[in-house]
Amino acid sequence: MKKLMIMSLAAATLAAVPTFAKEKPPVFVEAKVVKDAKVVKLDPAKAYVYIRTPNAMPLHFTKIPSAEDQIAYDKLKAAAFAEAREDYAKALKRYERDLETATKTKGMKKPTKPVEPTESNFQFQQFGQLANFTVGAFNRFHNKDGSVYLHEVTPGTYRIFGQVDPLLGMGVCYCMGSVTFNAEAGKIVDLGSISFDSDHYKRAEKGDSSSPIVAAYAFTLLPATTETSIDPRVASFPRMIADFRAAGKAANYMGIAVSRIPAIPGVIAYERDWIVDLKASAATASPTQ
Amino acid sequence: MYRRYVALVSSVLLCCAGSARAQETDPSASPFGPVEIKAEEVASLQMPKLEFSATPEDAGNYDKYYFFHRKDTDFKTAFADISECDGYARGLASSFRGADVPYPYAGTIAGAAGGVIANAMMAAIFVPGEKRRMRRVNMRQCMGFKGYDRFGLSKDLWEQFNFEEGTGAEEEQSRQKALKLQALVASSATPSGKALSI
Repeated sequence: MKKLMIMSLAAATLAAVPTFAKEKPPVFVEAKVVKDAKVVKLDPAKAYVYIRTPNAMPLHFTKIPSAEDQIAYDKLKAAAFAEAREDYAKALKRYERDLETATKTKGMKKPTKPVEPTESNFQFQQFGQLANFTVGAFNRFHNKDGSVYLHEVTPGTYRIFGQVDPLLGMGVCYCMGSVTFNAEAGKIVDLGSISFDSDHYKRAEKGDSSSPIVAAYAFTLLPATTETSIDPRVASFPRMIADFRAAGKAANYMGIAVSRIPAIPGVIAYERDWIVDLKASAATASPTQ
Repeated sequence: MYRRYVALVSSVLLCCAGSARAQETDPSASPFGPVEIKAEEVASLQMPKLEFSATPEDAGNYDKYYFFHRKDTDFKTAFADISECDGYARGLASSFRGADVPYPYAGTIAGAAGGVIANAMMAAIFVPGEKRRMRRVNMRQCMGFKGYDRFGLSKDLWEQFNFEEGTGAEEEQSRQKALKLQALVASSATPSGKALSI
């Protein structure tokens, strides 16, 4: 079985390891492609993400930290901060030495004083940069009349970060609104289907080099229902329909085009750039007895 | 090591502070935290000149040179909006990011050097223009979602209170000055032309 799966610990995860941390970060997310094979065996200890797309395309997911993850992340950040402080102390000594030399030497440029790292100005990579996985564009589980991706992942809560493969650095970040879902061990979480958003799709006006319209409305996400069919090779494995929840804004740390996931009835809507959590609204409107 | 840290701190210091706390309570809050400006400073801002006689060349460049405006918007809101959008549009990777050397070569000096040279050449050719374009795309996307209209401007007037980022990051003080003036225009200008597509 192992041969049927390709280890795909997200390259972004590896590339995102803080360059200034001595401590090796824990592996927050492990992900493997489930290969297109005649017989497929799934591990009940793992969670599986299943999504249909119109063609080969990447989707990037970031984990929402559990309490345990948060503790590990905070520890990592503290270690990096301590190292930054050590580096600063060395840089300050170097600066003072160079300043003394420059003061005594006519025409010599004075050095720039280093910035002291403090709790408030110290920036560390976000958790999502260390805990993520990417589906596609290669390694489709099914590739006739559309595409299906199936990935084995660490159980947890994930955010759809956007249509991007961090290796290529091209794509769209759903930074201005997205959704999260739970992926439970021993189950396939069915995310539904990505499809072209023909109702909203428009071409950029002629001569407009910088139109954002394509990034805004290229695709839409249609959640699955219990009636949605699933590949027979995995049909006997427990399936859960993704319970999408509106998620807030996120920084564009990949430095790519920004957009937001198109509105999903009953899940997320927008009033200008305000994110409307429709499930939360429904819960407020209809309190349980 | 330290230089890398300094570069990181200086490039993201203003764009990312306070993000987690703000978002815990409000999913629509800017992931870059709140921005503040003193009333005296707002009062001292001078409205940039926006009137000009448009030539066909000007009109052909409205995809690059423009300003945002939204009715019934106060300066504080516009400054927060412009700053948030700037947060998404700064430090862009462009479509060309400089790919890592494929794994089989990653451990060899020749492979690494080849990758570095190729990346440097590609970056020199494609990155600055693409980064400038991507900044415009993201600013327009973000301000469009926020309901601002876009109006064309001549390049000369645009340059008085805007900046481009291609090869390097805009110096922070200069950036903030430009963002404040853009916010003043976005909230208080009286656009005379027709709004463009976002």
